[in-house]
Amino acid sequence: MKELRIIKTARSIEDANMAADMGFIPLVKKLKPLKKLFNTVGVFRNKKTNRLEEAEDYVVYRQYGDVISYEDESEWELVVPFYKYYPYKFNSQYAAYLIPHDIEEGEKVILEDLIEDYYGGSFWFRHIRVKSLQAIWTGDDFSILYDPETDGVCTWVG
Amino acid sequence: MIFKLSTKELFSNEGVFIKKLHCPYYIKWQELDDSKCATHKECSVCNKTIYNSINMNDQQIVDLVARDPEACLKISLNQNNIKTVGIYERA
Repeated sequence: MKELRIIKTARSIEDANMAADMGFIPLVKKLKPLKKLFNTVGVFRNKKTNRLEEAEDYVVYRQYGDVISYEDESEWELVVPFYKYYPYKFNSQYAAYLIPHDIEEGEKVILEDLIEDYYGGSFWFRHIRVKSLQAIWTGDDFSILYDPETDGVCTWVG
Repeated sequence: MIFKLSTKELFSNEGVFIKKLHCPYYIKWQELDDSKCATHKECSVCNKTIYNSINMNDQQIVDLVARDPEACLKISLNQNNIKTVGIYERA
């Protein structure tokens, strides 16, 4: 199998301009958070200890088979109602794929740091964002090769 | 085991670094030949065995990597023998 060329991503205007000075063409895209990646969280206060705990529901499942319940109203008070938030943080609201001058139409590459959001599966209450995917250069953009059967699961090899 | 998702690094339960998962060909477990074997699959690109860590304990993985530092592993976040950290951090 031929090792595919890796396309880097600039996450700041400084990095994009540095790459432009080196001969790369920045393909700029705005970040669009995918609703499916949003998480839910609320905050419970323990009435006996006054300590706070974040939870995704009144009953949450943790790894190693742990189950935690906040259903007992004599013990727990929901002090911040459940809300949804986007858990991934980026320095800039746009980013740029750094396109090499010699890229050819139809060339398959690896987008090492995806700008677009793709769902990479869930485990317990957490939704994973796909970091890298293969893509084909169409001449003016990438056609991203995302298969939910293989890319939408939380599995890593290496 | 502890798996730091942001860097793909695997640690023992005591926090000792075991290995960093990296595949230059971005091979996916689901794409490999399904030999109906839950413990491992063969990768035809590198001609290596990829071991499914789901039923392995820390010591088994440490021993495997000690014997072959280039050994490939498959890790799924849903495994009960793995605690995942650094989910939303950027490497």
